[in-house]
Amino acid sequence: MGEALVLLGAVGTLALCAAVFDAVLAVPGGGAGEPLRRVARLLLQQRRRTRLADTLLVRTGVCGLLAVAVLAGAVLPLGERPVAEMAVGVVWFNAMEVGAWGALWLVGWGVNSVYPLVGGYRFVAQGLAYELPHMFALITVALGAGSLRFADVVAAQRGLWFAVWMPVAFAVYLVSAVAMAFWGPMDGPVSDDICGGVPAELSGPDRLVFQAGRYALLVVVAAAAVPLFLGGGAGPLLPPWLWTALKTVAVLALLVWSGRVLPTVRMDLFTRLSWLVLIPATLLQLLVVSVVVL
Amino acid sequence: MRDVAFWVLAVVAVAGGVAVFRVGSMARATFALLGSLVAVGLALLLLGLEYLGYVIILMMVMEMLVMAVFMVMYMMNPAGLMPMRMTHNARWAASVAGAVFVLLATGTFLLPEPVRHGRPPADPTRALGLAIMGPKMLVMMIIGVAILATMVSSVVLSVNRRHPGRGC
Amino acid sequence: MGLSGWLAGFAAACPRPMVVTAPHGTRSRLLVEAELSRRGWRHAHAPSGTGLLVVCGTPADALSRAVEMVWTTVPAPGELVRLRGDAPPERVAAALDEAVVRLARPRSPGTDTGERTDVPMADRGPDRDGLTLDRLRVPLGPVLPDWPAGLVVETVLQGDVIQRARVEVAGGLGGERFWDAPWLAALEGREVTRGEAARRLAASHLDSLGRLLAVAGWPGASARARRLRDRLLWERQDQWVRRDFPGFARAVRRSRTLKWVLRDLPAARDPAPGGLVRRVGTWLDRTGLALRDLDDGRPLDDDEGPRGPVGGEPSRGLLAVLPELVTGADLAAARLVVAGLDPDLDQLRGARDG
Repeated sequence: MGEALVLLGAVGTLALCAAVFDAVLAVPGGGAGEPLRRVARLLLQQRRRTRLADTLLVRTGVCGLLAVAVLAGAVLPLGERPVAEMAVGVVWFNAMEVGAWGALWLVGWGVNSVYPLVGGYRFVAQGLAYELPHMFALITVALGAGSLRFADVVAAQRGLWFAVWMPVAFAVYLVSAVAMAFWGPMDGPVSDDICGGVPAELSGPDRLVFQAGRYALLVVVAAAAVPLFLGGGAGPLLPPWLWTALKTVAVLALLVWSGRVLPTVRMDLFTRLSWLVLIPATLLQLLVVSVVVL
Repeated sequence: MRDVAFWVLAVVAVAGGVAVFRVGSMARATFALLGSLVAVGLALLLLGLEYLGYVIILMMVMEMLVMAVFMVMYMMNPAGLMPMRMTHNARWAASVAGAVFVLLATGTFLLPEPVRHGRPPADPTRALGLAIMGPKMLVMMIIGVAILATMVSSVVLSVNRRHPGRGC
Repeated sequence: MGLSGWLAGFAAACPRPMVVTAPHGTRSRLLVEAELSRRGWRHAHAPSGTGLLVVCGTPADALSRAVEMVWTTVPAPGELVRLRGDAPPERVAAALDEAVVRLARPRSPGTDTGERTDVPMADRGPDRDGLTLDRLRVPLGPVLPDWPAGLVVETVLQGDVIQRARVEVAGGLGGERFWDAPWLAALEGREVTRGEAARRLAASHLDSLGRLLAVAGWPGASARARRLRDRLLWERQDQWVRRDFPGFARAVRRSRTLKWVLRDLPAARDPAPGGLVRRVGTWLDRTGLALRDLDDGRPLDDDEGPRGPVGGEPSRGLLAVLPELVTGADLAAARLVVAGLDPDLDQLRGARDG
């Protein structure tokens, strides 16, 4: 119970930090207060409804996005122990994070409007492109650790971080992380060229919960990189929870920053990249790791 | 506790299955089916088969969305614009489904109940892998990679054919 | 007051404005964008995400109806600010200040508003693979972020692929051609220096670059282009612009991701090598050259405006090739192609008002 509260608090705090960092990057020299003002504005804002919307599906999607993000975070070690210790935590993480596909698609379809629908399309296409390389990256980690339990994965990196001896898997994980959270170079599903895409018709509390879910997902995928590739809470002097927090913040800052410095990658190009480069590259990485482990 | 969980999941699974045919839009039908399948995945957790349970959830979410893409999204009428019936050829389908149900239900009563031999393994995921693939592990892995290589190469070929003159 | 009153005041300081521009409203759009960037207000990209709708210029019938429709979809609390095409900078700032004061007034939030009318039902037709699929008639514009003022592209979509496209114009009242003004004035016999024309030319290309980079989803570079444009056009900080521009140009030219994203997209009817990548390079080259001539005091004696000879209405040509270039493209590619053409509808005099 206590750990669940810690998880919610940590995800909430980091999500706000990510929003503030993004606002500061967007408006240099100011803008730090913008996210909180935006929360206030959305709290007061009226909820709008589109014609013939499927409200049940939209609400399911809006709340579902936040829910899958938090559930995916439940297996991540917050220091030494996660909220939910699972023998197959990596598979759980993967299953929950795929739930975001459903959430986005439901919102995009349900509001009955063209641009959200196109955004929903784009996310499923993006999902089909990033998911296989992402799974291979996770499998590589599991193979290196000989376990699907996050605690074992962390323990297996006591000598050397997986980021160092599986660099391809780490790089692919980072790409799939931004793709999963539809952020930065992978923000096609919510990009400005289609009026904000999936959440284009959401207003007030609906938009607030959707954005909260998006930032929570970004935080959780950044946090997952720590036990998977960066040695978890291991580090000199400081306690594990603090190392976990510091490493998470570093990965999160990198992901947020990527959104400012990289253009959005068109979906047809990313699909090609994924099938022609990322999948073969992760397979080779898997082969190398298999040989070393054997 | 486990009994309660089982019955709740069983009811959700069946209710989701029924809902597939009662709702008026393909989107709702798709997600009713997904709810039903997720309940089945969670029911596997009661057997201690965590890996299988989560993989079922993972695969079903992806499959339902691929289905949504192919079945629903090529129709550009989102949301509940046009209510439609989710049943086709209802009488024939119902009789086939009824017959299959009777067959399976009879089977469960006629076959002897399985008895547990030995103890549950410490790591059911590992035991499952060995039970399914056993000594053919290497062959299975190679076939898996070969299938994937085939997929990748077919993508390579189709990409070039679709955009003649454009490199990749 | 109470909590909601305090929240309203707190929220009003960042209203996420959405800017709509009518043809001949370019000057006030530029002033508004400069003022918003000075205040650090980020733009909204959809009516439902905004608290402040800013209309620049005076829309004629079709655009006026479109603005009215968009306004009905802005959720409360929201404010509408209308600025004439010739509004001076003080008026722009004052109008935004007044809107903030009105937004800060506490009020009871309403519930669901009126429903919006939406696109018609889909019909069917063959797609590019020969399958019979649903298709939808969707107008792109006239109210769309980072989109040429007054442009409407009536499309038939299958999925997000454009099967057919037709250009319409939603006009505005007035006649100012902001980007062509120095050359037009020179043609009329008034005295204009080459430096003034060079300033307008560089600012125009920076504006086009800012738009294309925004559509390409590169907010950092887009904001930098627009900052350069504002400093050049309104603040006249020529030294600062000359210092900052080369770094910006280098960053854009060197970006491999941008080249990859723009690759294979056409910038003209003839598939010239390079396409949009080359267009970006040309804009950067011409801006760099123009920045050298800012102090040229000689009188202007040519008619080569930012988009070509100002007498020839070059944007008409751009609009003529547009449907062909976007047909068969998906929405993402089509948006980039339109931003790469960047027609200036201020140039169309007596344009049809669909």
